[in-house]
Amino acid sequence: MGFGLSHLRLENYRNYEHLDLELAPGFNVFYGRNAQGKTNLLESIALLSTTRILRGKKDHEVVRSGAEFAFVEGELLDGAHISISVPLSGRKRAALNRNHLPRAADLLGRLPSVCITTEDLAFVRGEPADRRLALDLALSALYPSYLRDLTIYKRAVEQRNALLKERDYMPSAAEMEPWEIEIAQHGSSLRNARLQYLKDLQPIAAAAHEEIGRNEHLSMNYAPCDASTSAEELLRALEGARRADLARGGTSVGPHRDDVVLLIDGKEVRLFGSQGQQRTTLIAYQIGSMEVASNVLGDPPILLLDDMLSDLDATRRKLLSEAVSRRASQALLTCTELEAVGDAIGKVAVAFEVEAGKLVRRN
Amino acid sequence: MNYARPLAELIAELERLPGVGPKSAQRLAYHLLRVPNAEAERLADSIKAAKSALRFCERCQNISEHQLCPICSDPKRDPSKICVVAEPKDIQALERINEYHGLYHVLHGLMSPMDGIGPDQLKIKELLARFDSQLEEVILALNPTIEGDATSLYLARLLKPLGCKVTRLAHGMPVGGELDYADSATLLSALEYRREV
Repeated sequence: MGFGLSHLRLENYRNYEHLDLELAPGFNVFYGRNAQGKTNLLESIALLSTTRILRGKKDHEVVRSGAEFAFVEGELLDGAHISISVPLSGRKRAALNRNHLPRAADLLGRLPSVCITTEDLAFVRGEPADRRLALDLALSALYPSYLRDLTIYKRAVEQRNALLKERDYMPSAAEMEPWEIEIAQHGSSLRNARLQYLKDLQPIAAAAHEEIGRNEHLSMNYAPCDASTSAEELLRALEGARRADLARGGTSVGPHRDDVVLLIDGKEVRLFGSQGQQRTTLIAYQIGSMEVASNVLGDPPILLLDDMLSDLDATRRKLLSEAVSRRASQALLTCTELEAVGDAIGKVAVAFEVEAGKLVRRN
Repeated sequence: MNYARPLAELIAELERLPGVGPKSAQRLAYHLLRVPNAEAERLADSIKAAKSALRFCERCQNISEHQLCPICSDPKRDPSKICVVAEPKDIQALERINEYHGLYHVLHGLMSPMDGIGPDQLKIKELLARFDSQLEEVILALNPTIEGDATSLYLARLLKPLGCKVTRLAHGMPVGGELDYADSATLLSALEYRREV
């Protein structure tokens, strides 16, 4: 059985006081004027999938004003229920079949998704941190071991930085070593996972980009900040950087400084790409990540496509709908005009009109 | 709120205790005022007595009434093994299972530069001073956190050259736990440290 949501329930989630929604196993289109709650709906599903809301927002912002907590529950295709409740103050809690899980992150992997929104354009035109975050989220959802490596890695870097900060003398090698060993072991696992991920993704994204981007060639290269390719080499790089790191008060080598370089026909998309090229790059990358995820998971993840169609010209829109309808199983799309989804999707989709936090099925 | 000054001071002192919030502090203070004098004095005396009579065991650094704690002075304990723990309460946990008959050593914390705790803030010199020819194994029983692991790494590097076996506790599934609800990190380490049956 593939991944997907058969039912979504929202309580006090942003502008939804209460919502009970049956979803179609294939394409679901949510259309309507702006500011009616289309994006909020997709966001609530992204929250179930990733346990995070969109970039740069605080969890408690999703609580409808006047309410104490927001609640999102999804019924999966296999009948399991997953839910997250977000209180106004305090930590969000996740549950599986109404039993609380030890950590919200333990929900990861139950409802894998690929999300394409204008916010995600940060992957193409944002800072290196935006690209690392995108890789970290995608890989954490695919591999729990990646999330564990990431958690330990970040903490170990913080501990090593604490040894280097506000000191005018070098801490002893014996004191630095335990943290550097943790950084090197988990850091090299992170780097290898990212490299492999991009290696698998690159040809798919390049082919998808040729389809929707009028034969322009897209390439993506992982750009590590140092040359080490194993835990031993990273450990040596860390030892070698001690003096410089003491001067700058932080750790200068490791995957927390790496980047991904995106090129169209050899030119960096971040700097030289047009708006259209930046969009096709993001879409091609996400089509690639969808296909890599389906290979790893055995089934395609659900696709969340927020308002990406309206900004594309008719040809690209048609190519995108075709590319998506071939690859996705369940997809949730938002747009202002129903016609924007194109024929390939329009013919098979269930359409809902969204108005002021209420949904009406239109076909 | 306007408390009489001695009451306000009592509440303030109680609030400083770990795990005691303003509400509990207030409840405890009113409770102590209600109980007979003798009972309140017994509590005050036991705090004083514990503070003045207790010290660190000379050998294992556990909290002790005498120079040596009951475990270190028990001739039936096996001196070829030392189990290293972070806190005195960890000894209680290990003693409850009644299976370990070696000695202990309390570090009084774990390395954490973010909190200003390095090797010098822990009872590590005292551990090294305990090395002798009859010691065969040091068991590191530290919490499976990053700080616990880093401290284990630090100690292993220090202890192995001295020529004794250094082991650490296994990581894995809680007994009686359900796989479906285990957190992924626990499940991962249970898989990594699996054993043949």
